[in-house]
Amino acid sequence: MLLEGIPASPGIQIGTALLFLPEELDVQNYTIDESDVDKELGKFELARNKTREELQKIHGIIETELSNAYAGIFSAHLILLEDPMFSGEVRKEIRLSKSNAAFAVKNVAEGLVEQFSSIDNEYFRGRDADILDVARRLVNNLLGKEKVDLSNLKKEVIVIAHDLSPSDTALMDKEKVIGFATESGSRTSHTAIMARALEIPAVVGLSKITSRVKTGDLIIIDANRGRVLVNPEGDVYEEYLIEQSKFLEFEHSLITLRDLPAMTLDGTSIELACNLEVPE
Amino acid sequence: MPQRTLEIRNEHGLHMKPAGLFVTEAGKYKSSVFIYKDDMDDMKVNGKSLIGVLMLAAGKGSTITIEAEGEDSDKALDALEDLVTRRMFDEE
Repeated sequence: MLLEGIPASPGIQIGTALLFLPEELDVQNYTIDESDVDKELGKFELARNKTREELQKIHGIIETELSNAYAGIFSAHLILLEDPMFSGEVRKEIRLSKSNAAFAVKNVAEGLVEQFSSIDNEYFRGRDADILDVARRLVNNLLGKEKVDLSNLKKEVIVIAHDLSPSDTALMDKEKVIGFATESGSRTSHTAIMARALEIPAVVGLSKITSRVKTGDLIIIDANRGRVLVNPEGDVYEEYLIEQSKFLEFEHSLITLRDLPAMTLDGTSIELACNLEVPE
Repeated sequence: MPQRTLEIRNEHGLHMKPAGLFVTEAGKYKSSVFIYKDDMDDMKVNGKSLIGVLMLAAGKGSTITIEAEGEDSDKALDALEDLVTRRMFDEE
């Protein structure tokens, strides 16, 4: 089966699929009594504190292991946690609508996502994923749930998911994840940013991939053409093995070339500089 | 009300990192801080809210008008102007 999507990080990868589908959070829509409002606000505050600690911990780990830029995403999440338009609104909803805290978080987050959906610019519109990530973390802490994560992997896998949030990928076992293929996302989504930071191939925007792939399927990611092949025929597999080694050779040759002095045939030195395009 | 109108000059505009720096700075002052993009003064956002500032989707070349009201409004405006215009959010 061949699926077309958007290239998010270059390269060709062949491997087995791991279908990553965190379970839907069971947030219930019940109201609380007036007399329990303070208690519920207290619960929310506790969850915020726990979430803050988690985010600070992750920020610390990523800063040392990966990069300041990626760690910056979690600094932003820490700021979101204090945001009057987020936490402030949640407290208001608990007080005025007597919502339980988890429901208030979910409601406020969804309202904000709705507002973001009307922004033209893809980068800014995609920031709703950060709000959802913080909201999920808060709800997990309110409901006392264990977070499903990618940190304990036994073998190398290509992760197939609907979407991958900063939290999903932050503490991921980086030795074992060799590619991403997701349903939603764009070139500026977290899946793309993470894949490029790790230098692994990724394709996003693959319609309904999570219902067409199961864990263990053979996957070929052709991120150069924006394609994913699922359980391909033998001859296609062979062709891609060759193409993959050619691409790796090409990348390797670029690294060798990089260290040579930049000089034209008549001996003029040229300065090679680079503009880093992607924020974060 | 005291206000400043400034041009956003850094490459990717008011994306996550600069927006975060802006609201962190604004949060240091007692004054209320509101901002709007270009001439859209009917869509003011709370300058201490990261979500609000991101919603402006202010790219390179757009202008933002910052309004501050309170006892330290001038200090706040000075600091924010410094961040946006002179420091350019510490990029480049």
